[in-house]
Amino acid sequence: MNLLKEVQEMLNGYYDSFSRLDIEDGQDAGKFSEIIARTGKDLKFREKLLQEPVETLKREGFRLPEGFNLKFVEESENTIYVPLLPFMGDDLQTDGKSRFSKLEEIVQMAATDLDFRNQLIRNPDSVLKKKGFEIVPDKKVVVLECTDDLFYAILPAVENSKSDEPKSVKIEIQGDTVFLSGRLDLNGVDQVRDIFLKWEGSLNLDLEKLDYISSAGLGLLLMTLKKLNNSSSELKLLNLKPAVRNVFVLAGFDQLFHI
Amino acid sequence: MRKAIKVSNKIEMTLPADVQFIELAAKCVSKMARMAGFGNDDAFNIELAVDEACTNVIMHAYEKDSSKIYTVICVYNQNSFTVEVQDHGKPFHFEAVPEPDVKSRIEEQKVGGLGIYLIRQIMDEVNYFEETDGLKRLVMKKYRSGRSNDK
Repeated sequence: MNLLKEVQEMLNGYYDSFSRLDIEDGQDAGKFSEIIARTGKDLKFREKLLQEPVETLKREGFRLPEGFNLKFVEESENTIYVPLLPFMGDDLQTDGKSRFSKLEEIVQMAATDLDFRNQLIRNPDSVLKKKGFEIVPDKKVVVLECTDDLFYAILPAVENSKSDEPKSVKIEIQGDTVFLSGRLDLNGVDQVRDIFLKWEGSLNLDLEKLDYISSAGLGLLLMTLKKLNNSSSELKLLNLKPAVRNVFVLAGFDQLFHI
Repeated sequence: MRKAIKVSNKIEMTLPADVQFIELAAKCVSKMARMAGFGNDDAFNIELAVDEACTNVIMHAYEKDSSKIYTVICVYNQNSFTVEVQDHGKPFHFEAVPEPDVKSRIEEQKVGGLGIYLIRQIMDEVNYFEETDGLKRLVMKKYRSGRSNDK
């Protein structure tokens, strides 16, 4: 489940229907979503919205009460933002059906149940985990607490912001063999973690084109080895380059893997 | 007579605590090691050591808070190549990091401490200092002729 996307959709849903952000002429319910979509293409506009959110929204025709503030935060790969609506207690009317599933449930609960809200603020990771969200170790959960006067909105990462730089690791899957090329470092493990941890059966890992591995990569391979061994499957490493083999030896991993 | 201190073989980089800049820092130091006359294997290993040091700062000292910054300084002379990584984050119990027991890894899935272990394997001298103003310095030195045996 794409948590970030879900947060974004949910927030936009709220803002689109949030009376204080009503548009002056007409009841254009999708206006806020439009603004968010525009920030993905128009970087000048994005910058303005980040620096002067209230002024920029007003220029776009939003009616905002005096003293009301709205801050935009930028989505990043390592952070999961959990927006909290102001605490409303019994005032929050819900229609009973949940459009945006679990996360909205959490946000609604936090707006009505003060204990739960405090728990979520104090220890977001464990609360989200208990609710069935998968929190990978190097992601950070940040709770953005909205109040009556201050709201947060999330800007999705700009699509093409990193496209000039090739991804650190490239993955090719052929049957039970995965070919990795590039760098299996802290950046790279994020891209392959899901594939490895969901792998069923034995796995051949062809590292002929892998140029680099760090402890983050070794750690992921170890987790994968353990997971596959537990289900009586095998993890085979093939065609290591001398430089990569050297890192296995330095770390003592040549005793764990047949290389 | 004392020679004037040459500053032309020292570089200093200030980086955001963001994983996407680790490679940049590590590659830059590795290139510097080649300029200092180290061979490809040593330069590759130094790149790995810097990667691990930066990773520790971002993941542990700053706990992935990318609004923080840290500094990588590297300097060389006729005898050695030194990389220093400085941060103002959470202190790190450098001496307490155990040598990993490889055999127990597979059972316990312990991967913590592997980065520091690699740094110690690669560099000849590794020291960690906590200054009174909260500055933490990880100083890693590699000698040209390889690990000295007389320490």
